[in-house]
Amino acid sequence: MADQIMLKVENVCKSFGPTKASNNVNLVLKKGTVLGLAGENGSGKSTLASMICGMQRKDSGKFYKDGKEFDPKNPGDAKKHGVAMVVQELGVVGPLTGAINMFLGEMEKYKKGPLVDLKAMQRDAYKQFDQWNLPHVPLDIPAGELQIEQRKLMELARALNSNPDFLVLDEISQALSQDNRDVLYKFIKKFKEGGRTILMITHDLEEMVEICDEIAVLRDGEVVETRASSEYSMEELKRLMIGREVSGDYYRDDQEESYQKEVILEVKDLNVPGKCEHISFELHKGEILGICGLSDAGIHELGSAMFGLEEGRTGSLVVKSSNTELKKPGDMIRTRGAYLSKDRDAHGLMLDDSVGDNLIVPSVRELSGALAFLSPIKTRRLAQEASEAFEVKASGLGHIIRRLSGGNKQKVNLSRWLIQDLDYIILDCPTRGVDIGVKAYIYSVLKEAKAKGLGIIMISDELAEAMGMSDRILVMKEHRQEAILSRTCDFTEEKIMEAML
Amino acid sequence: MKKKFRFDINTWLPVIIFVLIAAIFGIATKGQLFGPTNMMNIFNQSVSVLIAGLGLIFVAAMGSTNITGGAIVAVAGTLGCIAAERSTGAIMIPVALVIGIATGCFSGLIVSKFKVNSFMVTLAVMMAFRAFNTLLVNDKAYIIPDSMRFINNDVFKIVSVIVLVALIVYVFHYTRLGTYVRGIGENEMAIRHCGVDVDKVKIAAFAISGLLAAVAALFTIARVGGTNNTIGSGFEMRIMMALYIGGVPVRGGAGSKVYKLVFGAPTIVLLENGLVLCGASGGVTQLIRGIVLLVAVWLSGYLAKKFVNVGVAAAQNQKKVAAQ
Amino acid sequence: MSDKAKVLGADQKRKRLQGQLIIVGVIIVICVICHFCTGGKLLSPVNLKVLSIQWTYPLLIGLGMMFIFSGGMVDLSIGAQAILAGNIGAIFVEDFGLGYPGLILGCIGGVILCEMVSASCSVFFGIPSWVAGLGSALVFEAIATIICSARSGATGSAVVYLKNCRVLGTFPWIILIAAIVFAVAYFLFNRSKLGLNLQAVGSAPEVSEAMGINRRKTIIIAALVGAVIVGIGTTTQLSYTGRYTAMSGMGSLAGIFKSLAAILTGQSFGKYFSNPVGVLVGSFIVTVLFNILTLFGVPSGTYQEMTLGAVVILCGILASWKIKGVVK
Repeated sequence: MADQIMLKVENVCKSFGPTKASNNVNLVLKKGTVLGLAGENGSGKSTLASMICGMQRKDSGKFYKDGKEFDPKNPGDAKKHGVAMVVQELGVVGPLTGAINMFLGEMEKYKKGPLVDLKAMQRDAYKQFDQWNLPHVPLDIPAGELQIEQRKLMELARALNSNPDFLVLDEISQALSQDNRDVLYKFIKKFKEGGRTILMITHDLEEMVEICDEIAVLRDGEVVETRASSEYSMEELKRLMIGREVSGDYYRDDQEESYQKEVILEVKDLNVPGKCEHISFELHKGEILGICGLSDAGIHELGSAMFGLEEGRTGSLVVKSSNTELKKPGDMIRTRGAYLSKDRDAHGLMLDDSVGDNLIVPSVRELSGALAFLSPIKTRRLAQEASEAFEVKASGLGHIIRRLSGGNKQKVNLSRWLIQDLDYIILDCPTRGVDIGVKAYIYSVLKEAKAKGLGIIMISDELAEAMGMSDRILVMKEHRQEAILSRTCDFTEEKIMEAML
Repeated sequence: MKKKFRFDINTWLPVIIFVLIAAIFGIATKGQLFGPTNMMNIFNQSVSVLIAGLGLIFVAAMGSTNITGGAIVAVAGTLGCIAAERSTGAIMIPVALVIGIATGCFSGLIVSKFKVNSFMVTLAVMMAFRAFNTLLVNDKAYIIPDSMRFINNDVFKIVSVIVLVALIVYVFHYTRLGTYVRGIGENEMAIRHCGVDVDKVKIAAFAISGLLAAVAALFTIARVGGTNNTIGSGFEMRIMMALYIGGVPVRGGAGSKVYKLVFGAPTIVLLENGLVLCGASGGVTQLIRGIVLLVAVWLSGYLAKKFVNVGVAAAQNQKKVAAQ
Repeated sequence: MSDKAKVLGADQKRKRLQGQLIIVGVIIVICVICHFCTGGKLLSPVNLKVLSIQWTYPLLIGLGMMFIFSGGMVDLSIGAQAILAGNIGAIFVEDFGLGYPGLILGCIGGVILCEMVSASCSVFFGIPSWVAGLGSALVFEAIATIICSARSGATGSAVVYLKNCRVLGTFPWIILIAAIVFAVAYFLFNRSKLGLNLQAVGSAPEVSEAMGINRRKTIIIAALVGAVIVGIGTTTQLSYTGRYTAMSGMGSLAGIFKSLAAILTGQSFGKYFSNPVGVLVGSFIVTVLFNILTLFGVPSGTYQEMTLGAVVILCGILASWKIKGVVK
């Protein structure tokens, strides 16, 4: 049975503007197996998965399912062909109950006269849970009130509704606690025993090696290697994911903690209940302080809490040079600091505005002259300088941001801050969703800024990046500060992982 | 490097619409529209709309709206007249302006701090103010004091309009407040992440729109000669249409420009004036106003979208050329 | 069913019930207090009858608006639609002698036609819904004014009075109709395919589209249902008061203010009541409030409208309490 082919991916391409998210991808998924997709952020895993599910359309290439060509136009279409998914983009409708959420778009089946038979719906929903031995979650209260873990289980049960023979699981285990992970593993085993197939994406490589039968490694939208998972060693897998070009060359080549003594920012007992709790550290001049943790450990919340966007923050942040305490977002800007959110498009850039306007926005306060006059000559000069210094590839300052690639967007986002005379900066995932070239460029810029004495807090999803760039790494675990490790002696993956897990 | 001249329909739309409407009604009224008396009439009516619009553009640029314009004209005008009646004539000006600013600040405060939709808030304020005006006027007409009639002087009006337009162009296009309000229209979160106190900016924008509505109130009551129960009714719609017909996008943002309003204000007045000259009743005038509002908003949205798509196609062409 | 899930679900339900009881209790206590403050007038049988009749209009219009608003359309032309349709209905009865079928056809059909026009403006032409609502309101008001003034040439009165066919606005009928409409709206909103899809579309458009719900179709059908309910409200109100005065210059907005306040109040109770019940409670609060004001001798047209404005702002604040994110 294991030799029969469930799904074949043939020369599939997909690009977003100039960025190639999938480049000639070829994969073969056999019946009764689990295929894992490994790769860094932005390597095109999720894009591939969402194309198979019908969430996005491919540009070219073909899918074959059970030997027949398969071109899903939307998730409903994919469902008809026995493909179901648990993906991040497909959340729940908060105000409706779990049972209704599970059968959204399938109301027709439960019509009883003019109404919908909610009882039958709930019964069938729990049947689904029982069939796959999933722990029950309350389905008669609004789904928005469920915990993330319960919601994920519900989404899994929802995916199983259509009795699919092909299931896509994108980052499902991250949200689960250990006992529910075991439930998930048992489920996966049972599911594939029936000759069905799973495509799985997870950041937890150990989990991937253990659960998957085969692993395909993606890098910059291309499949670099596909093998049985038992044939990979951990190190090899990582090396393949990151790629030779990156290791060593792009990151720092020194192996020692190096920064000046002067403290720029002192954080004392920063606390936002449920998000990041009791965080204390000091940021020095010329230091890159990495912040790492699992995806729900609260590292991103720490960034926005420092900036002053999280409600209910206690503790103190003091900028040492002027001895000012940071309270509002404006305080950070006034003390020559900056914060770049992880969500560049939603929180950083004005997408439908020009490159020029985006470049000058953070600086208009400093550029204002007498009578608050904002000289068009000065602003234009600044925008020109910033875009030239950072080699933004656009047809001019009038170019609309939305039409730039992810990497160029990030260059605009970074350059407009770094062109200012800053003392410190908080970067949340600065290399998220950018291609490898821009990534390397950003690292070189950061190295340069460090040499000039800029204090950098770099929140990062990617352990390799944090290890490659930081002087010290603050590891968070379950919203708390777990350890601060030093480049000089502690930078081994074991030590960091130990603190993270 | 010399900048190439490129014809952009979005830039020229306000002018085209202005010329088009002027031409249509010029022909329909057999040139009556451009008679010297009527031209003066059009100018007179445009003044208030333009001035109130100069304030509203700050709010519109944020993608919000403020429909208290007409109600402010009524309340600020009436209270100004009452105050002038009880003391000297000049007190009218500060009273009216303070009411305008206070109303704007109040709406801005509710919108920014309590996150209530600006349309709802200003609708409620408008409603309450209309009732308040009815209460104040109580079927009695207040007359503007003689010492204040200079406001209706043509030279004074022309000078004030020029000064106000220049001032607002300066504030809106050449200070950071303008940059921020347009930025809020584009992406409020981005501006927040630049460390800007967005709530303050919002309150300031609403305060400016209230203030200029009060200035418009002074010109309106000076022209009409006093206040009554219905003064300023429908005025808020006229201001909004002046903006949207001139091509200021409803969602706000970088497309908001003062010159669009400068063309939009006389366009809407021309439209109404022309309809009246053609012998249309109040009902028909309002009908056409409604249709024009819908078409103008649809058109500016459609053209903006189409323009973006053209840009995408051009970018792809460029890429193809580069690949070859 | 696992016990843990059951307990958690039951716990949530108990909290909800507690909240519901507290809200209803507080309303009753306030009513009783006001009863004594007004010298025993508020809860007297005569006043209760008036109160219940007055309750129907904001309730029915509010329920109709709920269906229209839930899909994400803030359409404020409903007041103008009601005025136009009400006048058409009255003309059908008085001038054409069409009797009850004419009344119902005029009112309900009129609103349906109008709502389809304004909904299309925002759904198909991409005009932001509040602008589409304002524009259509101008158009509908104007048409009503034109019709009425054309008719006034013949009859000498700009107001169309409904003299016949007024049974639907009398005591037991108007309440009965409102009760039936509420029941239907409740089940339609909470228990039918349309209602559930509508709620999904309103709160998570992308998710619902991915789950195979046709967003536009759902919004349009819901607007249709909402229009029918508004049409019923127009019919009963026309039968009760005997006229709909045509207004111009956005005067029609005033007519839906009570319903708007009712919806916003209902939303601020969103955690405890489903939307239809929220509108029921909200419209009751608004009606009682104005009844009390009238009993205290507060004049309508001035102070009452000022209070209404304040109430809408207050309700708006309560409804968006703790909302995070961007509000225009």
